[in-house]
Amino acid sequence: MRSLLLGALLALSCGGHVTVDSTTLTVGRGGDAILLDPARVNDGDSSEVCEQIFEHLVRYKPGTNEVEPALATTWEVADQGKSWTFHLRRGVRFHDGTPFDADAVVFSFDRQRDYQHPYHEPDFTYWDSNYRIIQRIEKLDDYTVRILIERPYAPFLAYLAMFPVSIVSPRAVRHWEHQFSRHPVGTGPFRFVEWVPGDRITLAANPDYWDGGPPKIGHLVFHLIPGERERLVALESGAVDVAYNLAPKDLGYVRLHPDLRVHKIAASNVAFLAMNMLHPPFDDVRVRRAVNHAINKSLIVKLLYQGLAVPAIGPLPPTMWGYDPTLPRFDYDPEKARALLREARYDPRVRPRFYVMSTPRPYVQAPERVSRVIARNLHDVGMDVELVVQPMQAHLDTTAAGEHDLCIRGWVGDNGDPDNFLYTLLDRDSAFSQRATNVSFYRNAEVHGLLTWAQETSDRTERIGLYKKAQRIIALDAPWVPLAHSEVAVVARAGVRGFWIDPSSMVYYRSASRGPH
Amino acid sequence: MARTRPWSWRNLSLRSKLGLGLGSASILSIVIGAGTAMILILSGLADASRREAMRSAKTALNLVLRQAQSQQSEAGELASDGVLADLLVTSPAAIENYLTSQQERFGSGLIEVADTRGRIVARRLGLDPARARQVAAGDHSPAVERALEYERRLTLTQASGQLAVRASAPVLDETWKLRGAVVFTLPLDAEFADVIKGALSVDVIFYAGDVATASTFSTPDGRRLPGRPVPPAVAESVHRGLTLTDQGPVEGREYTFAYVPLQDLEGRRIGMLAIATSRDTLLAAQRQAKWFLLLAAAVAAVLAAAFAIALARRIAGPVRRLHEGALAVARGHLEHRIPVETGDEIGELAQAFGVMTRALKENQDRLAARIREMVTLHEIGRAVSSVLALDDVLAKVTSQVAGILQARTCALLLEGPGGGLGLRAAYGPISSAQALTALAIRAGRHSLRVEAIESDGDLGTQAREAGITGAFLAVPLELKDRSLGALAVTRPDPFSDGDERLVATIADQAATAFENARLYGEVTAFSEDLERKVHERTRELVEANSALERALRELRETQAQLVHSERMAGLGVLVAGVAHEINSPAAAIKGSVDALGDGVARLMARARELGQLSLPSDARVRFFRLLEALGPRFAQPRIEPPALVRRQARELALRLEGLGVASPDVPARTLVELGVAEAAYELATLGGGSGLSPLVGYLEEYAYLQRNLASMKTAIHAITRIVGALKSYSHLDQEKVSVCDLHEGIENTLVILHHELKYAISVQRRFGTLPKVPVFVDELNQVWTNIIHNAVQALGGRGEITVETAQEGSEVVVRISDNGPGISPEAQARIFEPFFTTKAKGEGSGLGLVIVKRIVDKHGGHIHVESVPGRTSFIVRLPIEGPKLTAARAVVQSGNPS
Repeated sequence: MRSLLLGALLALSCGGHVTVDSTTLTVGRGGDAILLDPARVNDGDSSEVCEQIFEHLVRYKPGTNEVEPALATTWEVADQGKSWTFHLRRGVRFHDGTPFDADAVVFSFDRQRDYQHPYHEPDFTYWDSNYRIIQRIEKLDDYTVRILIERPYAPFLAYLAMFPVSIVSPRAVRHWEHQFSRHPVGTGPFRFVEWVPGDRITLAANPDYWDGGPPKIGHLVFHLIPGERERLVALESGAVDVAYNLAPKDLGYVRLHPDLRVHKIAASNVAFLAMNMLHPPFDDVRVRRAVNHAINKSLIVKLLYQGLAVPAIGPLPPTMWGYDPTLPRFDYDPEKARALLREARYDPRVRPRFYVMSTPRPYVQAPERVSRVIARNLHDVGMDVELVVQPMQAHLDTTAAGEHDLCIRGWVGDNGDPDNFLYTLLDRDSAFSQRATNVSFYRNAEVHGLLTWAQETSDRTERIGLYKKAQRIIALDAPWVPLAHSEVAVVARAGVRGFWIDPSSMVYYRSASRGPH
Repeated sequence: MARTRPWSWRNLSLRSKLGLGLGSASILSIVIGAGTAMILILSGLADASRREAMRSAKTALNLVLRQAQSQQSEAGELASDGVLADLLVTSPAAIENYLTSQQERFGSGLIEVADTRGRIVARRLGLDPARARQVAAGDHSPAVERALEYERRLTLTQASGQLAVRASAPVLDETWKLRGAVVFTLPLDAEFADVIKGALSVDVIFYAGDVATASTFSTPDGRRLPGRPVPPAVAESVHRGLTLTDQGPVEGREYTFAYVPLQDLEGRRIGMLAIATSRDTLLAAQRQAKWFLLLAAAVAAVLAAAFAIALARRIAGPVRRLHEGALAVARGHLEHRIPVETGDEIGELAQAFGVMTRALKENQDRLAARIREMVTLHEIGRAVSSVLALDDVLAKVTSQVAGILQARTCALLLEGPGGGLGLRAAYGPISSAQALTALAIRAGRHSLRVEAIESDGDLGTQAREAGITGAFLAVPLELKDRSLGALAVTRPDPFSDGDERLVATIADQAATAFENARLYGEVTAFSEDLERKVHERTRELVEANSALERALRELRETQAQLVHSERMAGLGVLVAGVAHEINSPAAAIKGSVDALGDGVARLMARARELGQLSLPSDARVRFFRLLEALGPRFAQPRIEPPALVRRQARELALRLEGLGVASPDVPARTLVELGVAEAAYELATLGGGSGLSPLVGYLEEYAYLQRNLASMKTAIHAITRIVGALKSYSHLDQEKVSVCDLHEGIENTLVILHHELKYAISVQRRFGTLPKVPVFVDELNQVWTNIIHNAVQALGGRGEITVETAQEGSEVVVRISDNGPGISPEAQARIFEPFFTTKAKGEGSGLGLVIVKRIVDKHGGHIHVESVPGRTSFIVRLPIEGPKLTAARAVVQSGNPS
């Protein structure tokens, strides 16, 4: 009794102190960042933090692959798509007070492009793989820059919405030099405050943010909690407001919990079974269609992906423009598969070699189990395969060289452009040499014409038409069995609103808010 | 007090007022403080207990959900243990035994096993069969159906008024074949509630919807209660997803309840979980706190009252003495003193009272003196302001001063034009006045008062020489710190302070009068100066005007240069348009050529197959004739809904099968896709039973080639057309007049501007019959280009443009109209002026229509605009006989423009 009274008095006297600021939003993640220099970043945990601190000339509209203005307000394309002129947003400042202008943009690009640049770093890897097409970037006046690229390339704009070409504060880079990656300074909605490696990264709202004023949350904390069970417990107790990568089996529990919400988005990826069209019998479209009819995708998606995927009907993920839900599809129908194989006079003594990786991938968590289900499905229609299971690198090398008859491969989109899927995975240009990314070795001239044409056209409507046509031809030629697009699930407390998950599986917090617990 | 007054607050003595006020204020604050503390502590206690209850409720919810999760993993385990899958195929009847034998592995809930058709073939009822039946999922229930679609599912459900956890999973054998489904159901009943109570030591109630279904409460005789009815408002909030607490009695004891919602997989609220903690301890604590605070408040109030009374007594004594002193002063005893007893405000008041009575007396004396002076001054002021001319005023001043002061002599000195002081007005003998002047000058710019001037140290000698004796007073005339002169008087008697103040005041007035006179003089001088300046400015303006004319001339030259650069910009637009038009077909050709090589290779492969078919020669001739006939049909790809294509292909395959063709599906599909299904019959007869596929294969490749060729042809045609138009549009041999068909020029312009028009602008042509007219053809083309380009921009890319031509008398008239928003009357009036533009910044310099007008003028023609919203027309009239030419220009007969 006395202690109760004392407790109440204590509660009264301590009422003013709150250990966590009520506008702090805490995120529980399984991995810590490695570097916070967007040009050097190569992992999702780092790039997600960078995306809160930095911005690029353009960005994706929330949760889509559509490009919209960011640090550039308008742009023009000239010289048949080889010259891109960007007009920059005025009145923006970096978190260190440096004004954002054309010099900052040229600096941010040139330190990556120019090997002689005083602030060049050897590990600007994304530049070499994605931005080599840029020949030059020039300042036309304080708020105008021009980028010249080698050849007309419509997906270029989508590449400019990616984190490697974030605009960095030149003053901060000059000051911190190599250590900039631990003291990032950008123009984004949050500014960097502190990084305790192995524990937490703290960001604070940028009070001068140009897009609709400062974010509603005052602080954003990325808290490292390696165990998925620990993340769930922290979320339940309110120690964190958002948690990533919970175990799929726990999602059933989360859905029943009134204080928690599951937010899902189909990631920008695809897993597929490729048939090598250079190897008989897969040069015969009837055999390829038979394989399509033989595979029970619903079982694979619901059981092996544990519900965190949507069945694929083609190469493009549903969140991407150009996606066509009306594509011809081959439903699970073992009878039809058997009939097609009979018609193609399939010889059941042939044992096609079916290559699969042993390593879990973002687009397929359990590749071996998936391959065993597929092998079983094929066995049921009279096709026995020989499984070849290898570690990822060996799998990539051998399938790129075309050793396989069948293989499971996947693709994680680099940017929001359909070209990145269709041209890379299904154009005949990608089907030669030892480094094929078109591992079906599918070589359709019409598809090639459509895809290359679409690369040189910047009209969106026209490109959608071209891609839909190409997808339709591909669907009927059936070089693949499209399997699944995996889904990203983020679990948040019920009061947390306004954040969104990008198809690249990064979460954006600039309009997030946090209700009472 | 001798007099008795009626009792009221006003009439109370100060002591009573202070005592009452202080007492009630301190008692009131004690009561308020104690009350607030009591409310805060009581509500803090209640809050703490509510928070505690809510924590328990959340923990209870966790226990329920953890239990649900373990049901799910048990269901998954059973579904994939292999035995069940076997039994489902081999002996469903043995499943129940198997389940019983596995009692240890799977908790106490209900287990149902369904076959692939969704029928329950076996169940294990668990510990309480009657209750288990109540919550059973049953045949074809959603749980079963979803599991048969491979879904592993966990949800909360409400069956027959009973909440239950339900987990389901598909049963697959080792070959991944679906064999059935298992469903685990665990009712959230009193037994389950007991488990939670065991863990958390709180009472638990489950609600299905808002009806209590199970609880840990029981009556004294041991009968289980379903729980406590929930208030509707609470139920409504909880079903909206809120967590709430309230309180109330169960079986005569008070409890705090905390509610959390229970939801199913889709987030629908299907019930609530409440926990109840006893409020006994809380109520006891509250009672004790209440008594303690009441007692403390009473003691504090008594102490406060005693203190207030003592204090009031100490304050009221000195105040009474002060009151008596004030009465004495009021009666006129200004020397009355009040003893200062204390150092507080009352002591200070007594001291201030003494100071005040002294000051009162001094002020009374000073006031009487001041009144006297004021009267005198008023008289002089009236005298000074009654005369207008300066000299009269000054004379009046001296005489008045002398009169009032009973002086012998009075002199007024003023600064002359040279800067020195001189006598300006005087009273008394002039020689004395001059002597006074000299003395005043020596006295300088300060007041000087001497009782006997003849014995003064400085001035004595001079005074004696001038024969001036007695008192002397000199006062400077000053205006805004500027010295203007002085006023000097002398008389036998000495001057007083008041006299000096008086003379100083009069001197001020004299100075003002003098200054007014001086200002009047300046104004007159200024107006003369102004007149002179107006003359000067007029001359300057005339000069500026001629400079302006020069600038205007330069501007006209600059404008001419700008006109030239606008033409260059126009050329840029033209080239961009042409490049755009050529680019697309060129890309089309590139794509087709890329595909061509492959196509030919495939055609060769098919040709080999065709060769192996060894057709009779007449059949071969017929086949190639058929190909030739079908050729043009392949030029355009057919795009049909896939469903239609499939249906047609199926029908065709059936017909072909009727003709004895083996495996006709693929060729039939190809023929339908190519849109030449009607050729199937002929092809089938040519190829016989097995030859259709090679024929159709060849046909397919041939068709692809044709399609490629056709798209190349179309593209090349487009390029030819644009190049032709460009040629005739721009005769580069300028400045030559050709006799031309105006329609041709307009058509060429429309071709060149095609890229601006093609999307959403339709062009109507209403051409009359026109004679050929001699014109500067390329310049005239610029006229059409400019007007049509303007129309396109006015339309914002969507609308209709009409081009009408007609001959009217000796003129041809071309009228180009658009249905855009129109041009305002103000803009119409200025539209042909240079740099006038209604376009957005950056779209044009505003020279286009100036050039148009110049070209039309050059042709001896006329252009004007008519505009109302929805219709804007530019009307160009050109004389049929052509421009009036200078003899030097040649007339070139128009040739064939291609």
